[in-house]
Amino acid sequence: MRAINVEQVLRFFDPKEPLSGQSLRSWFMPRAGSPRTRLKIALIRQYDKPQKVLLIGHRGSGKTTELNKLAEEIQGHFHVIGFNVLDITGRTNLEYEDLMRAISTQVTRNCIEHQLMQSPLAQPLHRQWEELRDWWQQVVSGVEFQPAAAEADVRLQVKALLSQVEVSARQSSLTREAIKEQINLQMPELIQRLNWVIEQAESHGKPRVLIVVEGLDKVDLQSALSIFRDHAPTITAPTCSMIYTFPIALRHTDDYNSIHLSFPEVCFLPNITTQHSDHSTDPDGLSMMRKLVLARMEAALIEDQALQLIVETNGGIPVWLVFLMRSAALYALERDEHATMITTADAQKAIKDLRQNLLTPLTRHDVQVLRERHHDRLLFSDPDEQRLMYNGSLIDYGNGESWCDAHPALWSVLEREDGNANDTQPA
Amino acid sequence: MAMQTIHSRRELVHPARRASGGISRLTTLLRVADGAWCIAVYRDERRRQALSRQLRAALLPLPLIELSLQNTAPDPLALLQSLPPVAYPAPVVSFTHVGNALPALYGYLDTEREALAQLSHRLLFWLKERELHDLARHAPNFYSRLSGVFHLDQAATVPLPASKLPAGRGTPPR
Repeated sequence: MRAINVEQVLRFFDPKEPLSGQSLRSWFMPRAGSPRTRLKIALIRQYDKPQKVLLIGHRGSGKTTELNKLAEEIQGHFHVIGFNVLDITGRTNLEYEDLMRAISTQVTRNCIEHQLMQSPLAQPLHRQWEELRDWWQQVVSGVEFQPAAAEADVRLQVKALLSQVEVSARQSSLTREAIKEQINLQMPELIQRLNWVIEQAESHGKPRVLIVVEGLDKVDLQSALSIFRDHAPTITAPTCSMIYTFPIALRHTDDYNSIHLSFPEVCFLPNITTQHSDHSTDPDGLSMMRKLVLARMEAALIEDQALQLIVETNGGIPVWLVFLMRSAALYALERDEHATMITTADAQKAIKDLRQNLLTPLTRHDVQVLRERHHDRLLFSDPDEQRLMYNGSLIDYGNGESWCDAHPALWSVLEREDGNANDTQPA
Repeated sequence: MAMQTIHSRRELVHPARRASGGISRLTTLLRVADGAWCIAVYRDERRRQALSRQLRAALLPLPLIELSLQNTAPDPLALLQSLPPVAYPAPVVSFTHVGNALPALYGYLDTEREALAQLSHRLLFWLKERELHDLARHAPNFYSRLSGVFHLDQAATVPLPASKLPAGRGTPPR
């Protein structure tokens, strides 16, 4: 599945789609430095010792794609339950009670949906299911819920109840607060019930459960810090293996070492480096970037110089590579609706658009900090650098020692003496 | 004198022509790419309406559904899910009066990003320049997945001539 015309390039390079299913099978390229194989080995070799893993990578670096690939590779060993916590909670400033509620409802519902649990016909098991249902009902007592449909199977009753818990807590702050308070008071019980579900799902030689929680790298940094630093024992309490995505900006804080103690397995998905810290080019990284592009399209659809420009300017971050390709294809079609090739001029215009997008949220002060980092390439853990890393204008690299640089699309602005951003008017 | 010079240089690219180019690219993107997310930056409501009419005509037969965020909960996912079914599987949904939904909309966009990505609707948000900057700051997750930002009304900016720019080390070609 490769684009054979420029219009298909526009379709096949979609910055909001991580690879999954058919696109994963067609376009996935193994990356040097990816922790996926190490993670797979750790999970499979220590099958009976549940792992708690932090996965770190820049926004758009390909974490979801790597996790989708991992899930495919460990099929048979693990039943993977993955979800995005932002989707489930509807919050970017979530608290650990929100997270634990989301994990509990998602895992329980998923295990019921996939029929991982034994039929509760036998009396002790039936009673345990009823206890689970009753416990959740008392958690939400006082909250106005629509009466659930009278399901014959207690598992379906639980599933319907938990769906309603998720929806109601996402839609109503009052409901969310009420449930949060109850969960806070009864956290040990919540963990105990969750672990019972996991135990049931894994019983009788079935694959182990692996929970993948995405989105915590995208919540606001204070929320993430509080969850990972102050509540690590709770969020690692489920008795199965877990992977959490972790904000890259927190990797460079004083708190990181204490967080690391609770998560011995930290996996870093490095950006693809197109340069070394001494400014020499990294041919392996450039070659990798070209491969990522040419996996999705015929080489004849882009001038070599245009491709070279795009692979040099995306910062080693796949989402920006995809953005540049889509944008360049769009400029080609604007130039000529029957364009058969993306030219260097198209690529230059796309790079200009990316530069504008990156400049949009920046202030004059931000530009000054980026200029300094572009000059010295030293990685600091100051709040300015954390924020710039969070918004993607500052990128850290791991080839050789750790170093950082401003996004390459911004270099021309940073090397201009007068910079054009200020504190009141965005750049 | 200097002002006159700048003015004459700006006229090198006529604003109308620029806007036309922006509309043309926006139309192509929306027409070709299911599920594309775009921002159109505009100056005033009257102009937006004119641009919207132009876009609607250019997109035919692809339907453009306009959803105002005035006096409604700024929840794009819920709004999309409540749309009546249309014959076209992936219509363009154009969100207007976005300024009325701020800042609450930023949170919705950021947290609903993955759920919105599951839908095939082509989404277009009409924003003013200031609102675009705020969106980039307050909804970085959504902002990072946009297919394009189209400055449909932007006066032509004058890039510095290459000769005025210092030749920085390793600077990618501009």
